[in-house]
Amino acid sequence: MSGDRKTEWCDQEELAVGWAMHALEPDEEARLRAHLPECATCRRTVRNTEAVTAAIGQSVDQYDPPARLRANLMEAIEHTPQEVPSTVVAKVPDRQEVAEPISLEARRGRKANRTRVLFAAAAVILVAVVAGVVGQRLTSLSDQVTAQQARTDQLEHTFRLATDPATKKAVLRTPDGTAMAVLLSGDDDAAVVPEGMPANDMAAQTYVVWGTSGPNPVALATFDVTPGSNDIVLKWDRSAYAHDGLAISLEAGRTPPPSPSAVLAAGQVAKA
Amino acid sequence: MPADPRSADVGGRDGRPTDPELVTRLAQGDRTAFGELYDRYGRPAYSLARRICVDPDLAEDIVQEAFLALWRNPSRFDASRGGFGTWLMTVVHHRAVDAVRKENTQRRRNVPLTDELSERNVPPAPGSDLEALNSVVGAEVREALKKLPEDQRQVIALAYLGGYTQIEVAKLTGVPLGTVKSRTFAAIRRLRGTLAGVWSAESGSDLATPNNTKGAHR
Repeated sequence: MSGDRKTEWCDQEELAVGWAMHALEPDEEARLRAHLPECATCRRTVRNTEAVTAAIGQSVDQYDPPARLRANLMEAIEHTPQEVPSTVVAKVPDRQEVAEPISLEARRGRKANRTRVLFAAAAVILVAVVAGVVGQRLTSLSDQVTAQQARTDQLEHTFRLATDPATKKAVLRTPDGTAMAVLLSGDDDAAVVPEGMPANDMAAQTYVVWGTSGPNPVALATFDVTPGSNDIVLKWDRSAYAHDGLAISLEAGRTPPPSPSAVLAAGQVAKA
Repeated sequence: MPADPRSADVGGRDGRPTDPELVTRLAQGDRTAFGELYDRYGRPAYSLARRICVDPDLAEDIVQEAFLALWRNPSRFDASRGGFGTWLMTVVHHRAVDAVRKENTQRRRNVPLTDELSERNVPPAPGSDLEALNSVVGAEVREALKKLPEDQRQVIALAYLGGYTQIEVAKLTGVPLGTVKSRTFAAIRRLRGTLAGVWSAESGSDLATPNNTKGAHR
């Protein structure tokens, strides 16, 4: 486990327990997601917590599932193709599985259409993310696994955001119409999915998201693009969510200026 | 290092295929292996989903999607990270909690959490959750939970079975978030210590999870 800490404890372990229980808020999830790849102690805490919670989960009142469930499943797999595993996908941990589109709304007509669009959007993200991950050349298997862990957790966050009916989606385009990024705006979190955005110099530059719905642009969030970035979680809130006009600029320094120096891409939200 | 129940899977000792062996066969398109895994874990998976969602139809959807996702991409289960039962139950829990949160998105954001407590059938007292535990199979777990201080049982019940985030648990119980986190951490550590001892004593060096064994005998 190259890069792992050798300590037997970590001050993030409480967060790791909450993470394993799926009980954290998005900002905390993001924090732990960034931390896990470098901390063997917290990864172990996650695994240990899952072992305990799974035991609790298997000990609740037992109900026999309807017989049709097994029959439906055996029928469904007859026309459900299996994905061909690749060397990278084979190591994808739990959370990506969770991130897969869930067709729970199929029997709920009131949400079906909207949800279908969101699933489609999420599927696009999934493809982009997997493609990005496969493209990475990681130096060791352990690095690969830990990077996958962080990556799939981030994907899970983006997927959750993408499937929230309240989430607004904006395709941000350059003046010549080229899509530069997709911004998913929820009422308490958001994510940018860059499409060919160049990496910024993280020591001297930052990308800034601007809200353009008011008389003057308002800086809503900052983010960095690194080589291979797929989707980026933003610190977001309800006032940011209120903006239906959004834009991105690249600014010198690490904090947003009062107004954008040059807007690289802009767009309007479409309620998905 | 305490005993690690995650290393165990059903089968192996009695000549039947282990869970990882079944997953390997499943990955090669073996329908029988898929059916066997469902027979081992379909019931506990459905029971957990139903406990969290309450709605039996929703629980059924969740289990169906979880198993279909396994069929589509069995490599998502990584045997080096733990047992199949733990993995599957974690997946089902995660999906069930997401479904409950999604179903309640509007209410969760518009009504006081205290109202939602009763709406979602989350018992106000942790003792109610203990009653919900299976009296035979979950005996060790129930005993371990009983040994927890009540405030620790409460945070585990609300977060794990109620699907509430820790911030919501803090609001519901009226204690600071930091206290919720530390209680949860202490509860899990204590449960793990207790259960690891039980599992280890029952299974010798094999470290089998008794609940996994239960799944195999259906």
